[in-house]
Amino acid sequence: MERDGFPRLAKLKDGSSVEISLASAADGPALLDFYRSLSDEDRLVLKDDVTTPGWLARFLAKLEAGAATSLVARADGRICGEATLHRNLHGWSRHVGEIRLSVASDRRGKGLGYALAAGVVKLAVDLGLEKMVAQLVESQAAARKTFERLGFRKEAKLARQVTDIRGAKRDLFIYANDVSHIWAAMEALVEDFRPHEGQ
Amino acid sequence: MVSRVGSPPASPAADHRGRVGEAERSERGGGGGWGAEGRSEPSQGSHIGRTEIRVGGLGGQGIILCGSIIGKAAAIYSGRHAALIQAFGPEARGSACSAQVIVADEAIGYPYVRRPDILVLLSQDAFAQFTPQLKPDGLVLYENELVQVEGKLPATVRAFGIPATRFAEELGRRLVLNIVMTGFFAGATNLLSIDAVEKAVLDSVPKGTESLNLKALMKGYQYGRDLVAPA
Repeated sequence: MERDGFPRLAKLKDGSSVEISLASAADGPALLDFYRSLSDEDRLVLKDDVTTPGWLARFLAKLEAGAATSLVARADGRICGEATLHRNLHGWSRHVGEIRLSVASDRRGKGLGYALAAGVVKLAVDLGLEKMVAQLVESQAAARKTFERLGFRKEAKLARQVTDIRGAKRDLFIYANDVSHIWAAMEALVEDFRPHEGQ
Repeated sequence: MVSRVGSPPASPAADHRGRVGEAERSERGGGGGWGAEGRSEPSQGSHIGRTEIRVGGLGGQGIILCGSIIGKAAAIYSGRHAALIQAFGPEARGSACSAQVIVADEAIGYPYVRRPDILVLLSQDAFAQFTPQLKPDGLVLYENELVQVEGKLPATVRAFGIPATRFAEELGRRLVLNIVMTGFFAGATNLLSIDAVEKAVLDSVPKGTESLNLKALMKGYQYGRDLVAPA
């Protein structure tokens, strides 16, 4: 069933197509397979150990509760990329969403990461979120470029925050995209006070 | 404060200075009367006569935008004529606010609403102020968490309520309350085609907000259609 414009086909730079759809509980096993197929180095930059059934159960519970919204990309019958919008439904950061993105190594450099991230940004705006953040390690140059193209800017640097697979300490960057101005324009539009009009 | 009606625009494009604009009559537009007419879309070029609409509520609810979208849908995207007059209180927020919209097949000589056929109400004050002017067989569309109508309307008047505020909040933004009401207007009255109203919404809302506004429109539209559909 179509919802929020998904599923949709995304054409990649190499001419191939992937189907991007909203993730549901039915995608659980395929998601686990996808994350288990990532290299140790790739998984190191992820916040959770995404290879365990326990992680999957928590993730699906967040999807069910609306605290996470996920897009999955499929090609040749398997998941080849995933992007999730995490948000707090309560508390002082309820206007903020965090985007996490993973793409299979054989699909990188083809625009899939951009397509997934752009889809999640659109979902976030539709959900009324005002700010999006993404945490990126200094070595993730391609991912940083992708988010910059989507309007994200470096907002903070946490020095030596990440230990990579070889034990080296890396800086962690917080990228942010404030989209509150979009809705500020709508707020102005519904003010109902327009003495300058009709003159 | 009542804004002056602007001069008729030279082209069918919207005149944003108070008047929505009057498009030359054409046979391409939708529109086909209002009321509980089932689920059919307004037919091509069908007669709608002159329909007077009053949208009333409080400043900050998007009353003027709601009226403007109805007018644009009629004049620009349905080939009808439309006129909009806005009235608002001295404060930007919270004071009484209303829009007078006239949608007609023929040129509109007198742009003020005298006896509304349809009221779209988002506050109890607006209900109290405008229902005495409603035609005996008129239609009241109201936000049912903000307006109480029980026992306060003549039996000949039809009234339909919608929890538009709740719908807007469920969609993520209370701000789109007026767009839910606009969709409800389109669905419950069948006066204008939903395609025309959708185009008018897209033409009116800021870039980046289109998707949520269209969801809000369709939420209200579907609710309106379901309410007036024959059992």
